[in-house]
Amino acid sequence: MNYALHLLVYFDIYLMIALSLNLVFGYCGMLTLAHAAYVAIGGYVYALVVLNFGLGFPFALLLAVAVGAVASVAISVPGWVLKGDLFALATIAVGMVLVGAMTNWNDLDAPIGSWRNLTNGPYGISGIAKPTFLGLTVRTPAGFAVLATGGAVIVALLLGQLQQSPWGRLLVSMRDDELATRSLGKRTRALKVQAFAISCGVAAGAGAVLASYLGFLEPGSATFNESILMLSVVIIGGSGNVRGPVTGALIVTVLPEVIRSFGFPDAFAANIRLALYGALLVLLMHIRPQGLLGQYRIS
Amino acid sequence: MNLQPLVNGVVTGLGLAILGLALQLVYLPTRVLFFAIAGLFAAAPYLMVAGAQWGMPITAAAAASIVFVSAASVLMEWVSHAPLARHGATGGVQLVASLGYYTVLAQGVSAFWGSQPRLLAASSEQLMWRGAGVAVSASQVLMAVGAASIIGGVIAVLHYSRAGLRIRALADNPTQFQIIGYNPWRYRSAVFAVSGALSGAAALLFAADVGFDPAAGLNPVLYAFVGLIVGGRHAPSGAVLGCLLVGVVRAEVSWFLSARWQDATVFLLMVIFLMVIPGGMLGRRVRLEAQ
Repeated sequence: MNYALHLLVYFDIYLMIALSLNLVFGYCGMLTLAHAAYVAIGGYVYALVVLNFGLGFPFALLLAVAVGAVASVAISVPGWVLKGDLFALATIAVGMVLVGAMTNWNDLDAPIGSWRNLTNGPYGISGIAKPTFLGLTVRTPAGFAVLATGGAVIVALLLGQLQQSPWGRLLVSMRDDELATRSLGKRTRALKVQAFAISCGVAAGAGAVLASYLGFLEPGSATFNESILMLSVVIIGGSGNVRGPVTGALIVTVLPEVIRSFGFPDAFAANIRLALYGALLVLLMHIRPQGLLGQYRIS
Repeated sequence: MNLQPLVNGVVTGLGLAILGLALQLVYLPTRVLFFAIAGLFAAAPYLMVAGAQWGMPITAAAAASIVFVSAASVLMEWVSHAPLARHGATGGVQLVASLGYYTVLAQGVSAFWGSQPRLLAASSEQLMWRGAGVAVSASQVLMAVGAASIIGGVIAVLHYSRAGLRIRALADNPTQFQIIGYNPWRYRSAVFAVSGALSGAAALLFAADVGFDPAAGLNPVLYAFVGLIVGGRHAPSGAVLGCLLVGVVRAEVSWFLSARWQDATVFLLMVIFLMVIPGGMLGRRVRLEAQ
């Protein structure tokens, strides 16, 4: 039972990340490969705030979301002038800079969380406090499942509403023809900043939930390969609607269990799983570029 | 003035320039950001070691591994990139497919041969020459001489041969290239073959210098992308100049500041160039609709 709840927590976290990525990829048509770094930023902010200031979960979560949203400027501003492949390359560069900061902002002589040792570098931060609400601490898998599911439902409803709103339709029009949208007097640069701020903020929030669940965080969770994995969720499931990311999150949660059932050693199974995601990316580009249940065909 | 970081940087930059040319060779005629090169780069040293273990002489094993990754590169073109291009797929679709191939290759290498880092030989520790405050190892000499020869050869072929002229023509205007009567798909296959071979050769040179592991392809290929952006992605000289600059910046930052900040500095450089001079140092200004 506990294992099923553990899978549910992971599904919820994948779903939040996929929905956030869907906003910029599926609705703005901007392929970003820095999302894992924003998930990690949320985790680090949560860990540091709880460690240094002892704030409760809601405040730490809000702060993580806010920092993720502000840091999104690093990719939304290049999006003003860069498109397509060049924008994807720029996001890789931003992601590498952020991972570099997480890996290297450490000094073993200084306490963890201090200005000189903000991230503790490659050693990461362990013993991250469990979420506390109104004096109650969430410790059990069931508690985390409720917390993560609640978060995923809120994110799905919020982003679903946003995407159906006039603002969401404006995003789609910008994705389909940015020049025409601008000619109608719409400020597409502001739209990109807003979309990335919401997307990266939600990703950072998911990172905060993940950090509180695992109790440990290190820069390896923010690498380029992790960003490819996150992109796979949206591309495999589909983008441009809500059911695509839900399908993608379900697949990446269930697929490892299917592979595990064959009895492969753990390391080998991890390689097989990632190779399968890669093969699915190639296959879907041929037979269904909009993903299994998506609406947006990559352009 | 300490020349050691400059020498180290130039040697690394030459190795990166092979990858920069490999990426550029595919990108200009096909508009495919051939990320799968990182996977081919990872596979080449393992294939060479496997060949040597089967009793092949080391040079034959090296040649065989280069041929193998070159064939794999052409296979990717035949199976995916060419069919996708025929269906009018955009650069985004091609990039995702290439990312998929990279993931399959890197994970396949890790699954077959394990993820532990390996060394080809202790050549990096063999001091070849010391003087004027500079020490050069045997593997650095191999890298510099090998890379310079390969780069010179590729640029000479592109500029002075009939095939090179046609590849440049395909890059400039694919439609007119077809109208004149040339088969673009044949030349596309050729650039994928050469690109794969270049990535294999670069992988073996880097492996001789610093060793290899299944993730070894990612960073050099990303640095080569930075070199392309910084130098200018529309001319081979831009790719070489950019990659040399990246190598030197990394070495100087590592020497005078800290090795830990060299990646962040290089990628920051890329963001700055993309924002301020998107065409790169040797880029040419083009009309907005031609971008």
